[in-house]
Amino acid sequence: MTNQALRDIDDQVLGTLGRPSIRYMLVLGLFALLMLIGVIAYGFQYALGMGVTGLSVPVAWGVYITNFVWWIGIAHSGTLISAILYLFRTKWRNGINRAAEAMTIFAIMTAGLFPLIHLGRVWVFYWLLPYPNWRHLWPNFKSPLVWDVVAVSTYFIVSLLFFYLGMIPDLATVRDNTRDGRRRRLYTLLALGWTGRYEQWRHYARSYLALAALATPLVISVHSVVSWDFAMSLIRGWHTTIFAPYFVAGAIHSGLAMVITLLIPLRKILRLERILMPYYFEQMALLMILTGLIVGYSYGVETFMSWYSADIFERQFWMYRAFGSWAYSPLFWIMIFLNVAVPMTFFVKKLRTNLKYLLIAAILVNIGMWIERFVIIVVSLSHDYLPTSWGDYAPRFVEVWVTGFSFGLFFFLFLSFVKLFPCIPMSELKEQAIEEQRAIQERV
Amino acid sequence: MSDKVRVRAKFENLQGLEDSLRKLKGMGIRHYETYAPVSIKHLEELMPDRGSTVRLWATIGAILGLVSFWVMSSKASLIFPLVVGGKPPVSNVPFVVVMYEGTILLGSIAAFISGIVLARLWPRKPPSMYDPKWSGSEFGIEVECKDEEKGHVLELLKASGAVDLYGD
Repeated sequence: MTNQALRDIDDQVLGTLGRPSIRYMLVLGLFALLMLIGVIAYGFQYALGMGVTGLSVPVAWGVYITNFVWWIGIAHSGTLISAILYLFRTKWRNGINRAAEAMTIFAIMTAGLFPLIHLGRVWVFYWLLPYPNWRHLWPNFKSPLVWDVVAVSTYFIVSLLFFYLGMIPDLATVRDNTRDGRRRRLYTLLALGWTGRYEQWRHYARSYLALAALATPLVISVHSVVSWDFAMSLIRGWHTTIFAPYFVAGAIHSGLAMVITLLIPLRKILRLERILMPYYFEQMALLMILTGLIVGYSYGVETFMSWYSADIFERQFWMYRAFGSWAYSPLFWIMIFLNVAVPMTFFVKKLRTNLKYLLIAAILVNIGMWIERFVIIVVSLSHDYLPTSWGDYAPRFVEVWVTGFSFGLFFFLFLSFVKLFPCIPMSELKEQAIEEQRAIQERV
Repeated sequence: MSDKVRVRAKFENLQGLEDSLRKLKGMGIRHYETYAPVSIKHLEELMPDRGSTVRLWATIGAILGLVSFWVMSSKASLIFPLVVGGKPPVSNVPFVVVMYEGTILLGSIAAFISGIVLARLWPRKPPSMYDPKWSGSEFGIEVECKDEEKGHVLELLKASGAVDLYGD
């Protein structure tokens, strides 16, 4: 009985690695085209300078930094699902953690490009890194921007190690079931001679647990550090102590929405209905109610603090954000609706168990979270203390296409991944099946 | 002194493997190794070796990260000891962020490398005795015993439900 259950899991997951369909290749080609257009647009910026963007004084941080913060946020739920839920022994993570981890890796890679694109003089990006040099010039370790470089680099490396370590037993399964010579060589190389010996499992399990324990505080720290890029300055709308938890909750909120956005179509395309059960999505929807409430509470606290502080700059800034601009104020209300009101509909069981509704709601939350980052970054900069320094910002076509490039890159990498590597953690699902079987036998 | 031989068996389910391990332990045989497609935590009590030094290495890596990132931040700030924003060159509070990330970074790298090294993993083909089904749905056991015990061990494994038996 157990044997059959294990074989079923292998068959279904290995079945996803078959020859890609024409439709799949067309979609992949579409994302490659999006990337190409983005590269051409970036080439334009590279050649002519930052003047081709809409960035200017006072709004010197625009869509690029918005994209950076948003993509870093997207990267958060992967480690949440794989590390934090692993430590809590949450079973529903087992079916989805691999895809969520892959999403994390690709989202960090995408996010990491934006500070470089925003630099303007991208060829000197290495000045941000701490390395011994003959000029004895080191980055300023008291600067939140350098904290950010250290935090994001650490997050990428740790997530990559965690992702790869978790995949080794499954790579061995793929290696043992692949006939294609080139693919077999690739999986043999990556599986590191895994045989499933008890000795291997013993050290592997400890290593995985240690990485999960270390990745958990990292999830909390990374977006806190990103929030301090803003909160450490004296700009209205940025300089507030609630920013770290507010950003972390928002990051997990948007990350969960992206996992849902990716996995519902994936379930259908790869015919994984028997593995990616609606129950998993329902649990994620329930988690989104919690993160949505925290985000809503943060919006409320910001509003309350600007009134209770009796600071005229705080009050006028909040009024400007909510009612003062035809261009920006509607975004503020749309943001509240999409990030708070939409996830609250998940209280209704009928809605949160309807996958089509869940997918639409998750896409709306993704849009809402992008708008939130835009409102925080751009609107705060556009309305400073001095009316003489107020100014507007609108992204130009280069920024729009470079943003399109980021989506092209992310989805291209993710789609390539699901066809090359097992996107469902087979060994963890098998372990769960064995445990369930044992529990039934013990009861009998 | 009698020669040591190796006996291998394959099981279609975990129950048979567990059963055979219990019997081997009862017989006083201590040298055996299992092969499984999953991590089976409850096998730990039946196995001769337990524990792992991965946590120790992770802790050493984490401490090294904490110290080295503090040294890096402080030393780098002392090269040009300028007072920036009212903060002295060596300001431990802002350095906490860098040290925190360094702790996690080197701790994680140490946990990963120690796990790989201790499990003796490196890019190579699996050994010839390895059965590809052990990464799929079946379980294996390899017992090292004295030549005169071989017959008894084979019988014991067969009684536990082994579907395939072979020895040196």
